[in-house]
Amino acid sequence: MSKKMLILASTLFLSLHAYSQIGITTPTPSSTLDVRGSIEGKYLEITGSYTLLGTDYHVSFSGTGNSNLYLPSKSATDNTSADFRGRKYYIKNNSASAVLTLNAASGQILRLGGNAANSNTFDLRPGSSAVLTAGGANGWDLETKINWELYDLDFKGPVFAAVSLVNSDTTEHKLTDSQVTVVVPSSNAVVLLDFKGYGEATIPGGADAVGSTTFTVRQEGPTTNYYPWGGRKAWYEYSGTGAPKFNFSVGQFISGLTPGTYTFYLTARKEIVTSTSTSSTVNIMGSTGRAEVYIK
Amino acid sequence: MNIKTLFWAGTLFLSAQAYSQIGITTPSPSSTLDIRGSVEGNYREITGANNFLAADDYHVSFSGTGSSNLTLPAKSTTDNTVTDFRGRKYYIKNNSTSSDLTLNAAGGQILRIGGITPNSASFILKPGKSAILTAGNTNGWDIDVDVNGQILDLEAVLTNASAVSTQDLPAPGTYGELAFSPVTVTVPSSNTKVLLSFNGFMVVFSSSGTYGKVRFRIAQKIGSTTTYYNDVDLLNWVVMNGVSTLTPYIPDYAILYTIPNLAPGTYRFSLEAVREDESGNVNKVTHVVVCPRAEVYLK
Repeated sequence: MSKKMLILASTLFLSLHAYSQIGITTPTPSSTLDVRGSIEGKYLEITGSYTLLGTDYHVSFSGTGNSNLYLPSKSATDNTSADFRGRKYYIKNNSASAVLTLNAASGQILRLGGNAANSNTFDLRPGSSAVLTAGGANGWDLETKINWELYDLDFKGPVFAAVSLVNSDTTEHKLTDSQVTVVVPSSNAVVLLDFKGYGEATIPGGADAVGSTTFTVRQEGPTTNYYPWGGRKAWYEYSGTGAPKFNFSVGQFISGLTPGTYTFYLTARKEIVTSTSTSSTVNIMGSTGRAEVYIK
Repeated sequence: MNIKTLFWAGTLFLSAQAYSQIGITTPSPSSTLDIRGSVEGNYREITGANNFLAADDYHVSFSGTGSSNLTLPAKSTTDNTVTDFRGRKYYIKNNSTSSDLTLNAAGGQILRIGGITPNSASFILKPGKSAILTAGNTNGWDIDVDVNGQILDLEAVLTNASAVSTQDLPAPGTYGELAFSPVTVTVPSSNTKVLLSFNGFMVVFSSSGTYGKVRFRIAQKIGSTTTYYNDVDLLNWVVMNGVSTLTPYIPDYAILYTIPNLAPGTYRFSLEAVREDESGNVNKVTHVVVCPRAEVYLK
C-alpha cells in the first residue's frame, strides 16, 4: 500500500500548505486533524485497582470495593516522545457504592481550580465522571463535579386533619402529614429536614392558661433514631380571649447515616400546662415536611 | 512524513470497502476514526488578560490571577471549504483560584447553551469550571458548561442531646453568643449568596405577671474583623398572671438571613441574643437549643 492508494481510497487526505493538516473523509481539512465522521478511542472496563497506560482513553470502573487508579508520571520536556501534555483520559465510576481514588504520581498534582486546593489524589464517587488532561509543569487538569449536590428530596403536607393532645396525655403523637421519605446514598451524605405547622389550644371556660408543645423528629429506616430537641412552642391564653393559636418551625440536620431509605416525621407531645381549669386540649391542625439529601 | 512512518510500523489501517474509515492500531475500524489507544491534542496554559483561541488549540488551561478574556475565532463559513471548521472542539478549563475567564465570541456571533439560558456573545467561566466549545454553523458555537445554581459549601450542626446547653442569657442590654450556634463556611468567589438559618427555643423562668423581649443579631467573623447584622429577629415572652410558683414560658424563633457578595474567605457566623424591655422581677432567660445552618450558593 502506498500514499497514492490512500488518496485513491478517498479517506485520508493530507493538506500541507500553510499548515500540516490531516483530513479524514475530507480533502479540505480545516483543523489540524479534521475527522468528518465519528471518533472512537480505547475502551477499558476495570473492577479493581489499575495503572493507566499510555494507550488508555476511556476507563470505566465497575468494581464492588474501593479501588485506586494510578496516573502515569506527567510528561517530561516539551516536544519529546515522553511529553504527552494534552492527552485526555475519560474516567467513569459506574460502581454502586465503591469509591475510585485517582492518584497522581508522587509529587504531582491534580488541579481543580476555584476554591478546591490542588491535591495529589481525588476520590471519584459512584456515578461521577472525570476528565483528566495531562498538563505541563503543573501536573494534571481535572474536570469533575466537586460541589454539594441535591441527591434526593421529598415534600409533604399539610393535610387539614387535627391531631389532638388532650388533658394529661403526654405521649408522642405522630403528625402523619409531615412524613417524608428519602434515599441516603452514602455515609457522607447529609440530610436537612424542615418541618412547619400550626395549631391551637382549647381551655374550657376561657380560663387563664399557659402551656407548650414539644416536637420530636423521628427517624425510621436502616437505623431508627429520634431527635428530641427539634423544638418547642408555647402558647398563652389570657382569660376570655378564646383558643390561642400558634405556629411552629423545626429544623434538623443529620449526618453519618448508614446508606438506605429513611422516613422522617414529626411528633408532638403536650408539655407543661398551667391553668386554672382542669382540662385542656392542644390540636395540631396541619404540618408540612421537607427533606433534602445532599452529597458532595 | 510521519504518516509513512506510522504505516510502516503497522499501526495505520484503511478500511475503504463498506465505509471510509481509518483505524489506528486496529485493522477493523468501527468509527470514521478508530484509535484503539490514547488521544492527545495541543495543550496550552494561559495567564494573561487577553487571549485568543487559535486554529491549532485543543485544551486551554487558564491559571491567571486577574479576570481575563478568551476570544474565539470567527465561526466557520461555507461548508466543505478550508475555513469551515464546524465540529471542531475546544476544551477550556479555569484553574484559577478566584479569577473569571470570559469567553467572547467574535462580533455578531453567539454561544448557545440551550434551555432557558438565552444565546449570548460571551460567557463567564467561573474559577474551577470547565467548558467544551464546539464550532457550529450559522448559529455560532455550542457551549457545554454547568449553568445551574450551585452549593459551594454547606455547614450545619446536629442538634442532639449533646448540642443542648441550658445557657442563661446575660443581664438586659448585653448580647450573649448562643452556644452551638457558630457555623463556618468558605466563600470561594465573589457573587455568592450566603444563606443562614437558625431555629431554636429558650425557657423563661420568672415571677407571675412579668414580661420581656429578646432581640437577635448575627455576628460575622473573618480573621479578627467582626461585623454585626442587627435585628435579625425579635420575640417576646410573658409569664401568666395569678400563679404562685415559677411558671416557665418557652419562646421560640426561626431566622432566615441572606448575605450576598461577600469577599472570598472563610467566615464564621454565630447568633447572639440580648434581653430587653423587661418588667418585674425576672429570674432568668435560658437559651436551650439552636439548629444552625449555613449554605453558600453561586449562580
